[in-house]
Amino acid sequence: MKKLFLCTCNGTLNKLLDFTRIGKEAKAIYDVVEVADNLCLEEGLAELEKGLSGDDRLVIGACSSQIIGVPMKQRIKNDLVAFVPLREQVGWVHLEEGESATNKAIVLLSDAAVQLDYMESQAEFTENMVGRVLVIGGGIAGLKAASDLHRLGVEVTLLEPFKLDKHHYLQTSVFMSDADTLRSEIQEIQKTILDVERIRGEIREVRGQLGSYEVTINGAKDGSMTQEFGAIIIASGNQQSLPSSAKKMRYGKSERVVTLDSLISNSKKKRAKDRSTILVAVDFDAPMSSVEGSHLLRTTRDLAARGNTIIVVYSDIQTEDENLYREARDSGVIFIRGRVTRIKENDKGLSCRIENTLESMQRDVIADRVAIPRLIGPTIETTQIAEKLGVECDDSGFIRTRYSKMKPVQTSRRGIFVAGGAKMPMSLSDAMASAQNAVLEAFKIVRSPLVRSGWIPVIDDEECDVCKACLDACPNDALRLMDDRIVHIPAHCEFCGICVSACPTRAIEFQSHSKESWFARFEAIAATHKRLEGKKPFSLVFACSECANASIDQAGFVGKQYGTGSYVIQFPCAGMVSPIEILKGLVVGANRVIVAHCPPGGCHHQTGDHLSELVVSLTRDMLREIGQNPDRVRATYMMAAMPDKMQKEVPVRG
Amino acid sequence: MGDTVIVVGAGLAGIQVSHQLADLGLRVHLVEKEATVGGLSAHLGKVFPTDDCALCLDACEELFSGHHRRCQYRSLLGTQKKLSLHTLTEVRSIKHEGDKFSVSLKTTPRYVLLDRCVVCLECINVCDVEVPDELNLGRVLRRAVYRPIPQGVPLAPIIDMNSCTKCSKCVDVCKVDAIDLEQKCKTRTIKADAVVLATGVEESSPSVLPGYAYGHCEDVLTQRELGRLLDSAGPSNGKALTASGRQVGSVTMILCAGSRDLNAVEYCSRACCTYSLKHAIMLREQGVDVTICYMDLRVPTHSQSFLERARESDVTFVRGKPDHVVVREGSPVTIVEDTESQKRLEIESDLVVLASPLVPHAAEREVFNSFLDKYGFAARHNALKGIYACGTSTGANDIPGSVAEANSVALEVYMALKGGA
Amino acid sequence: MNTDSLDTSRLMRNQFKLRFAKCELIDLTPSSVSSDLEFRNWILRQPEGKTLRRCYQCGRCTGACPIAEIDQSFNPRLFLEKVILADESLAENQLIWTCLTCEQCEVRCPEHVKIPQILILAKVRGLVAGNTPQTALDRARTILSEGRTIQVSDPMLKTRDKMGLPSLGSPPVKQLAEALKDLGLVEKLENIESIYGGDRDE
Repeated sequence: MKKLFLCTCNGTLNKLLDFTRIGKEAKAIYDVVEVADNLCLEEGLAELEKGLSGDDRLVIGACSSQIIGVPMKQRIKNDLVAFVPLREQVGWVHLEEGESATNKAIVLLSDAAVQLDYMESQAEFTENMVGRVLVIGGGIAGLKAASDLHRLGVEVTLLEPFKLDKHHYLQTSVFMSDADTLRSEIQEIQKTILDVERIRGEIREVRGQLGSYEVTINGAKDGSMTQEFGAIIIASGNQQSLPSSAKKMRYGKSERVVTLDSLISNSKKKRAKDRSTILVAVDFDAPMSSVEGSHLLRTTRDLAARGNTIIVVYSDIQTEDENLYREARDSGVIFIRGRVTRIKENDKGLSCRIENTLESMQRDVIADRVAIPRLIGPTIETTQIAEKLGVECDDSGFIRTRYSKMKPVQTSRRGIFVAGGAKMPMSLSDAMASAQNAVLEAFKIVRSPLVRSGWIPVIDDEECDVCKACLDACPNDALRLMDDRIVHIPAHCEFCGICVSACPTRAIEFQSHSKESWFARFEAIAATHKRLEGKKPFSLVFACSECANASIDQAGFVGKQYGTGSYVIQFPCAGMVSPIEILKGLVVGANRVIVAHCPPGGCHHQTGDHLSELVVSLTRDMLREIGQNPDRVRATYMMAAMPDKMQKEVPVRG
Repeated sequence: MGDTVIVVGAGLAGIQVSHQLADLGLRVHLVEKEATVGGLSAHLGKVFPTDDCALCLDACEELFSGHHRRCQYRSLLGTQKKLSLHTLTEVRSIKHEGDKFSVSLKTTPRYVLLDRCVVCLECINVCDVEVPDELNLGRVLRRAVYRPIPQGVPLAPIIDMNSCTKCSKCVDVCKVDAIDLEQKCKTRTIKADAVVLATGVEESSPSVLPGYAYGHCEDVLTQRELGRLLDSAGPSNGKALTASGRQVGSVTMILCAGSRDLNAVEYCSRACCTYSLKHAIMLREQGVDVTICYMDLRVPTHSQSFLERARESDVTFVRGKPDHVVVREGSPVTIVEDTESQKRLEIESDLVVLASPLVPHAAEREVFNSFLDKYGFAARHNALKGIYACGTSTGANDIPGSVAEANSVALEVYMALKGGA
Repeated sequence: MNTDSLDTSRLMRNQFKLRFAKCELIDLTPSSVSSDLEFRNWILRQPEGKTLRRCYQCGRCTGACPIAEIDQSFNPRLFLEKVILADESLAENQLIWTCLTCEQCEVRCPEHVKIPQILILAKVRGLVAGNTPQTALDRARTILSEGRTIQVSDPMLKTRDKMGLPSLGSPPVKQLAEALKDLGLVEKLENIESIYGGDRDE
């Protein structure tokens, strides 16, 4: 049976909304209509439970599904439930329009009834995870990751590059901290991974998915080997390079121009003669990271403490620790804000011309040496590894993380994580923390079978042209081509539905969200609206279920009023919206269709914000082409921090 | 070993570490002294590096398997089986007993019962008492029963007993008996195997650093206060207005207004450069002229785009630390040497905004004293085994840094309690 | 917008634009930094002089300076930069004698640099080289003749009286003169001439 449960929220919603009329209208489309005053409380839930049998489909007309949904799910087993947020999206936002608000409630409830007709149970699946983790890279982050996983009882394979040289590694990684700390830290960790499988080699091929990546490794000794891993951690570290300005600083032309690190290297031959004048020319054009800055300060501090005269030409001092800057100045380092414009060599040394911005004048300095701080970038191997694993890199070749604010180690591909300097230059403590982050994520994957449930895309092989558009569009690598068929990989799926809008033949339909269901729902909305509101125009808001829907709920919480005749329809992701749904919205009579997605770059499924903008712009072109007003369709972002967005999109009718 | 962990402070780091520990199967008590969670981030609208909501949380595996992150109000924080949230609760003492900690907690009354309230907000509608809303610079009024932060979890309102007249109108209107004006303080003691300090930072009051006219001129604000003005749910619906309600035409920002300064806070507060840039960009979008006075711009690699956008939108940068702010005809005038032109400038603007240093919360509380350094920050691993710290309680940091640290501490706690360490 | 990556080339261009927006001000005749940094090192050797190292050129001193408010060319921050770069021309510059030693700069300095003392040290360097303004000489000579840096006039005494301040008495001019003579200062003072002349800085 189809049942509707309405809640007055402590007798408040019925002050604005005419619950008698709503109830009367609802009785025409629902088998049972019940009204409660506090559905979310114990007594309300008990009432609800009593009124339900196992195979009932129900609609809850109360507060946001995010609020009522929680206690309800704990109480009842029915899985075919639709929610109409009468409080956040009607009662609280249409305070001045009682009658129209009631009409809106009725329209939304009639939509929910149709939604129920098309609703299917969510697919449930369980997948076993391979217990072993692959750690790529033999630097400090890789060692730390391998060590922690090992201690957690997880099987680990540590894949180190062919040409890993411990001495060289220590020398080039000294930027992370001081040399002694780094060395002792590595020694400590080495002791804990004596039992860990270690291979020298490189990755040849990776297949499979989260929980069972099949990795083929070209090894040094025994040719190649293939093994399965539940998760992979990339810790391919950093390498240093000279800035583009080095040539202008006469690096390579004069023996007196050297890298800054060469002056502190332990080898006595190279060590700078104390009491010489060293000019450190920081590359003016490349923004310096705080790790590079701290390294510069530590190095120059030590050189000055040995009796050298150090002049650092800089633009902005970057450091994680202000006291390092103080120590450098205390030990006598001279800082000149500006840049080196010219270096000439003569028998006295290097004559350097500096533009000192803080004096607005040029200064000539005779230096015994010019030292150039090297830039810290990703290793060349990082790009190769990323390509083999199918994870994205940024323009500089660092591994890109999925969401820079909250997901520090998640790469663009599920089950693959990045640790340490392969993501960005890191200090020793940050690199260790980063390794722990990756371990935590990998551990959560491999320790137990993956259990998921959700509505999934269903592929109609008859309709499918195998054009592979969906493969490219899927942000999570959850669709693959196998034996000339598109196959769904549930372990990767985030249930976003982006594949649906990508498919040119509509061979993919999302469970409970088929084309037919949308059409029927829009028609129900339009018909009910027309019956209750006559010719009054209305708009459809296709809101993604994450940021956009949260923003619309927030509008309710902070009381940002907007016009009635605005019907919000939740899509799993705005990227699922195709021109078909938009055009159908217009066809049924909507004055405007608004596609609301997450903020730019903030889509929970990576690309939905961008894709929905594309789809809308395409639809607008179509409208223009057939002589219709394209402004009836627009895309916009919404987020909870901007609860006024809905108000801006759907102004109150004046 | 037992498996009970107390996390002190429900800011972003505290929530993150709690989620992770609960997902790993440990029993977590998350203790928050305020009425709602979110800490400093709850006061901010948008945050860097992603320029989206401050109240975005990592989604816990238990409830949102397959999802990535959630709005705070939809995070269902505290509904996890293994995570209990205690708001309005302070730690009174931490006693070390054998290999356990006996932590005494004191909960002050909310006067609104969390297990009864349906958040219909009718109590707020009937309340007659109106007082200035401190979160929103006192520029708007709130009732004696109010919700401090719209998204704040728990969603139920709180009654401010200092202004409540006990007229009982709210009690009468609440048909679900969710209001108890006679609620009393509660104390309880929890035996824990580990304690994680995630007590966070707050913006220090600029009045401790005289000279910038804070407190004398109402148009001298801190960056957090400007953040409230620019928040579309804030006191002026996101518009930059002066205290007298005029649209702001120009803003001068003073970075390091107390940070990197032996007279105030010695360390660099690390996040202020970038959030100042974020605010500068938002102001430029409203057509407001912005001048930023800085010493060194310290923008983390992940947020360089903010610097780029600020420059593209013609924010004026002056390299120099302002000495003082004078008030002329009601408007603040910033006195600063532009060190790159060697000119002493007197910059007139409608608003002056101070990037006040971020100072640790824990420093105020004696109970944490033995775990803190001279600045009031805690070490990630305390000398006393079983005490951890993460987030900004270990030093001023940005959100990505705090989250990463919270995750790593979660792993360490798990390894210490469940083997592996 | 992807915050993890950035268009470095564009960033560089902007950075360049910003940094050198004021570059037309740059004086094209270069000055050399002495290779031994003698002036700087001398200052660093004096008591309080070593606080110079801490200076990070924030410019707060110049903002605080009451002289800088009147005279744009008086710039304590720039003076410190010259000392840092061992630019002896500072000690020859009469401008530093304008300092009131009000210590506003020192009180505000975020790194506790003893700016007035460093300026005094610069003056001392100037004195040693004969760079003495006439007013300073006049003051010194008044000490010899009056026992005070300034001559006390009758109206001043009357005002003191009105304000109820105690009598000044007469300073021990004779003993002072003898003590200074023993130190050889009197002879020096008699022979010294201001290279600046005496008109300008009154």
